[in-house]
Amino acid sequence: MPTIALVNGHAFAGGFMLAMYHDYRVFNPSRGFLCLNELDLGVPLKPAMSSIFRQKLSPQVYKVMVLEAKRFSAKEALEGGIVDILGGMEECLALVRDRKLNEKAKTGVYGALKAEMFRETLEYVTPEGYEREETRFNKALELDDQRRDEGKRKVVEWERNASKAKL
Amino acid sequence: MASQALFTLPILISPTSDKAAGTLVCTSPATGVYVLTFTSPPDNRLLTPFCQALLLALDILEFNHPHGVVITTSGIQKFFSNGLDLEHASSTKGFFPNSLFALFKRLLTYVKSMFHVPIIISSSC
Repeated sequence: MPTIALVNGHAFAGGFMLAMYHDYRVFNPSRGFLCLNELDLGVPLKPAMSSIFRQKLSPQVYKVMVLEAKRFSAKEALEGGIVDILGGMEECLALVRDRKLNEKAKTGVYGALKAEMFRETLEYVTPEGYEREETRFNKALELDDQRRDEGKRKVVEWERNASKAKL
Repeated sequence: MASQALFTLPILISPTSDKAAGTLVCTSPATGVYVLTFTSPPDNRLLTPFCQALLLALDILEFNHPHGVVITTSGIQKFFSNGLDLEHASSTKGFFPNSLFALFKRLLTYVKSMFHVPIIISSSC
């Protein structure tokens, strides 16, 4: 059945992700910001934490959200397509009525349709997918250590050659 | 919205505690509309018990009530949710696969049931 996050105040980082995993978002027009602030916290986003934004938003909005840790006001969130409408419970219930959202679960296929729409993200939130991605991340860290060692060695060598050339 | 609670779940202080740090209240302001209001002061951190309470509420709605639409919101004015507690997330075994991502998965596929998926053999699509 459809899920709606009625975001009444700030939704930061994981709180924003929680809202994003719903089918619809209704955001308070006068209070709160939406912000993915992992850049400022210095924390990487796990695959399931980034892909949900990538799959539901435009590349432009996704970029400023992740790479600038932009705090989106209500107006900006609406313009960016991050939220469906602005309002409180009243507007939220009107959205349900206008789009007949309480009838969408009738045929029983709603969840299966969503699973296919967001299959990439779905692969990251299963226990198996989580383990697989953690292994991949740790392997990437190891490879990056190797790259750094190799890179440093090359730079040292370059410096040595450069000073020799001067003589 | 003066509608009576369908059910109330505690949001425990910790996974091993039996004391509540907050509540998750389910109301139904209209037919087939379920509102889950979480209140876990000060800022609705996504701790294990918070995720587990929401998961249980989604199960209760799936199995005990006619299907409709689910609205989640916060009982704390300033915050919907301020996200993870990084210390809790890294020190709690299975936090991501069993709590946070389990909740994300549930929302992303709500409600997916193999039994409810009709098999379309040769209709118009």
